[in-house]
Amino acid sequence: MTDISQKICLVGDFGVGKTSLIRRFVDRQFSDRYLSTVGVKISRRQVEVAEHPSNPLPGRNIQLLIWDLEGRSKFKGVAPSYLQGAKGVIIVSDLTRPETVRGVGDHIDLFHSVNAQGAVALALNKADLVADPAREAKSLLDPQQYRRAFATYLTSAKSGIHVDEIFEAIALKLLTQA
Amino acid sequence: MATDDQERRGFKGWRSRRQWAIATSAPEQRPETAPQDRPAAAPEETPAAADSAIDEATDAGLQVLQELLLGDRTATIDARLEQLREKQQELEHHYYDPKAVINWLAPLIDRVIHEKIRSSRDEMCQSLTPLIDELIYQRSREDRRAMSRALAEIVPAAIERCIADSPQTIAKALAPEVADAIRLQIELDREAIIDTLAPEMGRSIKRQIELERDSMVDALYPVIGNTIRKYMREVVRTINEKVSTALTAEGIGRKIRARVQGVSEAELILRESIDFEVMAALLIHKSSGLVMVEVQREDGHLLESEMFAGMLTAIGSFVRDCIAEPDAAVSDLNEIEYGESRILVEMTGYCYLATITRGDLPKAAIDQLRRTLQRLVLYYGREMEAFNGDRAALPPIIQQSLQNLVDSCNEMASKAKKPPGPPWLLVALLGGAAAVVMLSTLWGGWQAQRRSALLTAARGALADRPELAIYNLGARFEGGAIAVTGRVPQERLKTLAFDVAAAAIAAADGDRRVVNRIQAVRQPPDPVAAAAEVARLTAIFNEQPGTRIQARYQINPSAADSAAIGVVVLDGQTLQGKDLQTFERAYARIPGVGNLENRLRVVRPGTETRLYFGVGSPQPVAIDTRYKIDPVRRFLVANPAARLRIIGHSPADEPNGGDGLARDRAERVRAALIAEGIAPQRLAASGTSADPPQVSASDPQWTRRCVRFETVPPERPFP
Repeated sequence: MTDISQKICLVGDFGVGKTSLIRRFVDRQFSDRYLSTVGVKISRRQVEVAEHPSNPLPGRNIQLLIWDLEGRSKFKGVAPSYLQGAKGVIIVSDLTRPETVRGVGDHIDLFHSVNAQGAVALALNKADLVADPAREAKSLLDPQQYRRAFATYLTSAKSGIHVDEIFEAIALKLLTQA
Repeated sequence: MATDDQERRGFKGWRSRRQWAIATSAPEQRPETAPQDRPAAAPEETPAAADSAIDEATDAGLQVLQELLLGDRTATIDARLEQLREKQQELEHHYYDPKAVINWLAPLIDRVIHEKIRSSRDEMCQSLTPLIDELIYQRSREDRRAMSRALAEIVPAAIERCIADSPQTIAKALAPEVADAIRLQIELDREAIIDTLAPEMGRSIKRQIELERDSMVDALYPVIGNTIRKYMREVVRTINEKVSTALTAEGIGRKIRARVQGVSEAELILRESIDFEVMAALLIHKSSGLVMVEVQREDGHLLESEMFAGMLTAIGSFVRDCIAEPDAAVSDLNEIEYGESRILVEMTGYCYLATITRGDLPKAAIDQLRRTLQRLVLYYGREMEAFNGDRAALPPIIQQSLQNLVDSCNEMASKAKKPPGPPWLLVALLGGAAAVVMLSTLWGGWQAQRRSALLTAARGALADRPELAIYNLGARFEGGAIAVTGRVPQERLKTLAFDVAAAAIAAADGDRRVVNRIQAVRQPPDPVAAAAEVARLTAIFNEQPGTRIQARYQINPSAADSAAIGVVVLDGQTLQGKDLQTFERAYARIPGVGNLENRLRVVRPGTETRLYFGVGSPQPVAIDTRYKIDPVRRFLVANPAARLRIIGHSPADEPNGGDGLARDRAERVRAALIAEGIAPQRLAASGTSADPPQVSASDPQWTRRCVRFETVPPERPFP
């Protein structure tokens, strides 16, 4: 079985839980301190999609190189050069902080400015902290931005809900594109 | 008469009617049909036989009626008809003459066409369109130049219009030929196309860099890499030169080792500093940071290559974003150093090679690394550019090349690690060198002392000889030999000085070679001394019997050689020819004599002495016996080598004379000389009746009766 590797990025505002999501998901990772030095932390995860019914290339797995980019703050944006070569992006927002959900569009714009054809998935994180996350999401998320993403998940790093799913979805998407 | 006229008119009238009727009722009738055929061709005109009488009566009636109604006007109509007929014939005639028709129609045609276009433009277009291409084609074939001229004016405008209206179409039309056109133009006038393109090249490249920097980097990488390396080689050479002049203990030691091993010192320095190992080499996709190809040492700690590559790429991006100046178009990370380890990064357009090493990679290895990368970019650049995360899609040879690279670098490292030689070799070399230096110092000192002693001996010997002491003579070493030097006025002194010095040197060192570098300088001779020498020699030569020499010494101021300005003029006589050469050589040896003028004569004594006889007498006259025998005797005594032939003469007409008497006379003289003590073998007697030399029959008779003498050279036998 041969693997292909793909780079994906996780972007989102500061403190939305990108790093926690990755920690939930990945096999191996560098220390978190790189985030504060270089502004990026790279993790890896082999995703088994070989037997997935929608895998167009059966017999091929995918290895995700996940670039956890330092969260955008009002002082510092995401470095576009880190987005180069990424076939997909998971844009993470915090359901408990509406401004992070509303800022999703900016992140998509930035990503598409570097990778016009890249796949975008939305992770509306900290879903466990919200009573009705679906409704909350619906109220906060601009439908136009929602349509720009191929998939949107209500995730929780704490409970692990939909974490594997969102990564597997993007893996399958990349495999389909490749 | 009237009937005839009527008939004629009636006939004419009928015919005219018929013709008119035909002309009006059938205007489309084809003109080939001759008018005279008309009556016969009209079947309705043929009357039935039964009705013919009635018809004739009717015709006659009609004629009368016609006459009554029209009267004279009939004649006018006839005349008109005749005119029309003529016109018709003329037209028919014209019709069959094309030239006439053309002349007739020409003025009308343009008007007709013009009118037609105006009235029905579309129809005209439709009629002409199918012909236009053919017309142009035909015309082009007939007169290409004219057609070209006609089209030339509109073609540029047409193309311009075409480009404006439909750039895609004209691009499509021209595209396949552009390459050929450029190639042809290059063949025709290379300079022109260079001139055209050159000013834009810089801007084009700049624009291309702006548009697609990575592909430009990839394109230029193999060239620029080489150029920079060439430059760096020069720099290293300069450093090498500087190193080679450094004179330190370590440097000298290294120099000796370099010489022993037959390598340059710089290489040795390099080798000494080498202790390296290639741990891994990763070919990484530049933008995504994905590993395209990796080679790792199996025995070492395996690297998490994908994450490493990603992080390295991120760091590269970070450095580029944060540190590199915005204006610096190309600025990339080249090396990361941590402790003993290094990550060498060699960038190309779409990928980069990260080599993780322990220790510094030597230049040769870096060169090889770059060459490998250049080759890969050159041959597989397209595949690398298109890398999408699938390593299997890359040509396997890239993996193999990288593996070879790592293997060969590590092989280089293992070679370099081998000790260059046992350490005591250097000690032995240094010890040997020290011993050699010491021995050579001692040997040199002893040699110098010995040489000095030899020179002193030679100089002392030269100074001790009084005739040489006044000259500035010396001795010096020439290589292993001693040269005796200085100047003396004579060859003799030169030889003498050399002999003296050589003897002294031989006494001190029998094997020493001695060379003579003394110069014998000719001094201007002393004219007084020369003249005295000439006088002295002359006196000596004049002591020889039979030799009377007068010698004068003269100065020739115009002589070229100042050492030979004297001229000796010799005059006088001598007994033997060989004396002349002896005298000449003796005078020529006198210093200051450059030329010799020899007027010496060889005089043979006795030849002038003649003893005379009375008529028929064998006995010389008494007075001759008394005074002439003795000088001959003295000549023979003075010249012991001289021999005399005694010749008697008795003319044939002398009473009792002749050969017999002549011989008697000679014998008598010979006996007289023998009686005086002359050895008989030195004297030979002969007689002849012939007259003696310089005497003839006309001379007094007594002159013909004589005995004379001839000297015979000692080496010759008597005749």
